[in-house]
Amino acid sequence: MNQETEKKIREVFPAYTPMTELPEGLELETAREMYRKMALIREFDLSAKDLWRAGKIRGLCHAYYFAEAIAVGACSALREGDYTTSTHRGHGHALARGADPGRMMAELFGKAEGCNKGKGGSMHIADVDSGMLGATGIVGSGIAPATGAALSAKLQKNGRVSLCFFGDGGSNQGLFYESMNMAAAWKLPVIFLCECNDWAIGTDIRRVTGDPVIAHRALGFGLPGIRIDGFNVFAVYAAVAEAARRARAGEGPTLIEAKYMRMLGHHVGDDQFYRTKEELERISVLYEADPLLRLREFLLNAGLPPQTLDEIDREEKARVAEAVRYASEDCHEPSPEELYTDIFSDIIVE
Amino acid sequence: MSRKTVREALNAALDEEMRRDEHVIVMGCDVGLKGNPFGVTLGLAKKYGLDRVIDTPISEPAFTGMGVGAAATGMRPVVEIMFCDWVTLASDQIINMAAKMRYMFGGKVEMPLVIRVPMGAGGGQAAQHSQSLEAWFNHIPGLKIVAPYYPADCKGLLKAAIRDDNPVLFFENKRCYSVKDEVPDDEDWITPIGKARVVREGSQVTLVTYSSMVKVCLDAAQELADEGISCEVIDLRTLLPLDYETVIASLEKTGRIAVVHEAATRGGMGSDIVAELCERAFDLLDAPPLRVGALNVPLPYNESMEAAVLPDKENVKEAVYRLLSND
Amino acid sequence: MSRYLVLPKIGMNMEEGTIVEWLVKPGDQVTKDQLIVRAETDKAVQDIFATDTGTILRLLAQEGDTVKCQEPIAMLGEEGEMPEESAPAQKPGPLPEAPAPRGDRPRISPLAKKIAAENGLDPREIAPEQEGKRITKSDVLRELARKAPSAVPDSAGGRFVPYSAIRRATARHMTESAAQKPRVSLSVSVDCGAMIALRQRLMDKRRISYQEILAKACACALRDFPEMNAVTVPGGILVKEHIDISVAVDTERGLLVPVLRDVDRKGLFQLSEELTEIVERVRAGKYSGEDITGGSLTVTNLGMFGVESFDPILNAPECFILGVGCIKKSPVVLDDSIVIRPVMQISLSFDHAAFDGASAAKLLRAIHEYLEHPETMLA
Repeated sequence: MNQETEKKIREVFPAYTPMTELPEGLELETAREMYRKMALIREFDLSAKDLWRAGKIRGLCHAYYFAEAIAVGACSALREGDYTTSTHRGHGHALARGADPGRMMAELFGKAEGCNKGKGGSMHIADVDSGMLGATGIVGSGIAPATGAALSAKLQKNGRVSLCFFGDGGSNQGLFYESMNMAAAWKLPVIFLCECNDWAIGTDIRRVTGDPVIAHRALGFGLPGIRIDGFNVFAVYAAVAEAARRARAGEGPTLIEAKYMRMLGHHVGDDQFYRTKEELERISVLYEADPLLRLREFLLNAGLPPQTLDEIDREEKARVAEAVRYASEDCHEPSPEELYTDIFSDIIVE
Repeated sequence: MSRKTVREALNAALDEEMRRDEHVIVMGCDVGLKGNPFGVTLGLAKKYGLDRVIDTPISEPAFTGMGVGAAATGMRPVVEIMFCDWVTLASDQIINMAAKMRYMFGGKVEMPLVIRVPMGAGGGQAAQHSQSLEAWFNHIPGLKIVAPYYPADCKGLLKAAIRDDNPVLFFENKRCYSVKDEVPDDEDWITPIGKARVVREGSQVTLVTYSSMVKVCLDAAQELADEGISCEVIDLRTLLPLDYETVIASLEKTGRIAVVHEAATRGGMGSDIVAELCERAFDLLDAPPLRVGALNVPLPYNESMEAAVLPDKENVKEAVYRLLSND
Repeated sequence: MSRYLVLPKIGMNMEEGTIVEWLVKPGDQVTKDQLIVRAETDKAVQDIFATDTGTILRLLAQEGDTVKCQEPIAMLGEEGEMPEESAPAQKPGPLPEAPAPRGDRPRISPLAKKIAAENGLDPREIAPEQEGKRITKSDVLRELARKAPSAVPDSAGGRFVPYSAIRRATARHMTESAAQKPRVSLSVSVDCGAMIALRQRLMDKRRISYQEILAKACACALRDFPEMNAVTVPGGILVKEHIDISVAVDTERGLLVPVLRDVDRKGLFQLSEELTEIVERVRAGKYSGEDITGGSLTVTNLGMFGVESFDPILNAPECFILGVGCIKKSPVVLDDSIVIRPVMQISLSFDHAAFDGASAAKLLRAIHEYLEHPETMLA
């Protein structure tokens, strides 16, 4: 990236940090696999967007487009067994934890084989086996359960940490402050990771906050708060790795504000009429900061041959294509009796 | 067996379950050092430590939500909402998370969460410390709701709730904490969730009730017996799932039924039970089924005003007379 | 266009009536409110007045027919119009012009409706326990019990005799009273020497019967125990201000129980006069509901048939009934010697739901005292 572009980006996006070297403890091979994950998420959600518009996916579907570095950077710094909670924009969080794209696409298609048996859909996508405790459609509502999972880990002394994704919209819920307060008071192993994209559905964060820097809010609760470049997967990785270290060491929670920008609508059917043409023009420079392209550029500079990355792109495109084929051809409608299952563990109440 | 108050029975249930399973934790305002305002959790912190009997800040939404998260990750939290009135604060986590997670995540999550909700009026605590809001939650698929009266059931059902893998709302009436009766000492003894109990047999009218109104109905039934009127009293114990089998068996005998609860009449459990009976057992009804509940007003502070709002023995008797009048 | 005269409803509890006697015939001119027919209801034989003006074209109910209220009993034409000889003698349905207040649907509980349907019973044929109340299971069962014999009227080779309105009312009243009032009977023997002597002295002036003396004794006893001068109401008893005594009377139409008012305050002659008057009216069917309701204790006497003693069923909502046997010369131990005295058995049945044995025993002892010492009734 030339200096002129970087300067323009910084004007719109002050949190920008360059990707100069691999963060401590990260192998190039791992970085390559992080690229693979990000490519998968990108392809998955662009597909989901088209499928929603084609009427194959119902309800609300929020694309994780342009946020891929946050989920992948954060989840790459976690260990197996660690917990993550999600937002309404959860496809990336699930895929980053290793969820199967086929079963996820089947869920978006409402099929019995879906990871939620067709009962949750996009907004509640979950991969509990990998520790991803599910997406939630109530903004901010995952924060307390994530803190509870940290309490659970602390009491069970299993060394796990709990990472809580939420947005700048969710950061204005009281639950955030109550949870942060208790987490700080009891030094719970939780990481509050705010994906700050400046927009709460149709409201610009600057219109509804006195201080739009979410990281500042940590100060009042007695925990560290840092703001990072959410387009920079290494910055996310490094911040979360340090927060996880602190958490496991019993030093308590960390608030990380990962800045990025919502380049599309709130959900895939949102035409963003509320965003002015000028505003959209102003942020268009951020396409130069595309987290996927930035990692690709880094990997090329680090010596990976372009064919390898092209091959990864092709493979991930193929995985998503196969997921769509699987969901639409191999999967089944849930049976009617499934309506009443999974409400309770032991009884059926009609 | 030993004689215990409801307070002691609940304490014994928590004590036994905490001893039995280290995953059981208690959390809420003042549950630890203070032993909660009513003494229900007294002594538990000393026995099991403040790590497991957690004094939370006054943050119902978050500590309830933390209960949800802890339950989803292997713990068995017993969350206390100090006064039922404030379950409103925690309702999002109860309704949208605890009740829904298993279902919306395709059965992948266990939710062994108990939420203890001390409810009820009678002490002049006015509009924000007196309500009985159980019926709100009856509307929510995915929750179990219990509201026992007898000390033995309080112990047995709290133990059952703690061992249950589903979210259970446990409503206890504050005025009944000192009710004393025989309680089994056996640590493996539980009261199954979902089973009502006939606490007085009768032939002319069925009184369906729970929690504080069990005593009121029994007193009314006794006085009515002196007048030659025979009432059957059913203590529901569990409100969801509700034991309609027992209720309908009684209705088959009597043909006349009233549902009695302390909560406001409109939209109360009585409304739902009566509607359900009209659908399920219309042909068994020999008189219009009645509801006896509190007046549909906020609980007033003044003693006689408060008494006027709450249902009492006379209201129950009036309902019985009305059921038998064929008017 | 033909119009109809209907059987009007002329009492709170009147559901139907049995035509006793037509006072008009086809071709007669009738004017509204003219007496046209006498009909027996569960209470009495009532005078029925024309509900419209015109010429009687045809009688639609014959003497002996039971007709529901608001159903037609005669067809009316214009003044001077002559009856059609060839008109088919069939009853038209209920009048469209006179719909029942709640339409054709009786007020009936779901359970009662189901049982009625299972037994092929039309809910409209079932009378509630009390006018205006909902028909319930017990009403249906009562109606079924009433109808039961008609199911096999001839199978036993016997003759089916349907209940008259009075019989039906009595049957219902007795069945319910027996079912609803837990009854206990206490009995004592009364030495009637003084009572007989009193009656004989009074007979010089006016004929009086033992009924008045018995009623008076009961009223005086109730005056001594005013809390027992009561009838049952839902959930309790209603203690009455006046002491009114019911007296059971046998008539050609069946058992009727007229009520004597303020018996404690009236002399035996007045009581005798009133009883004679009311019994005459009752026997003639010229009485109203008020004449036969409102008592708190019934006196029933089967002594004239030689019955020595019996335990009568209560006359609900009353709580007491005195069953009186015959006066019979009997050996009695008096001052340690056996003497022959005129002795009468009386038994007091009472509602144990409302009163206890000890209370009833006190009341019976008081009645006993008044009968053996009738002069004290004057005090």
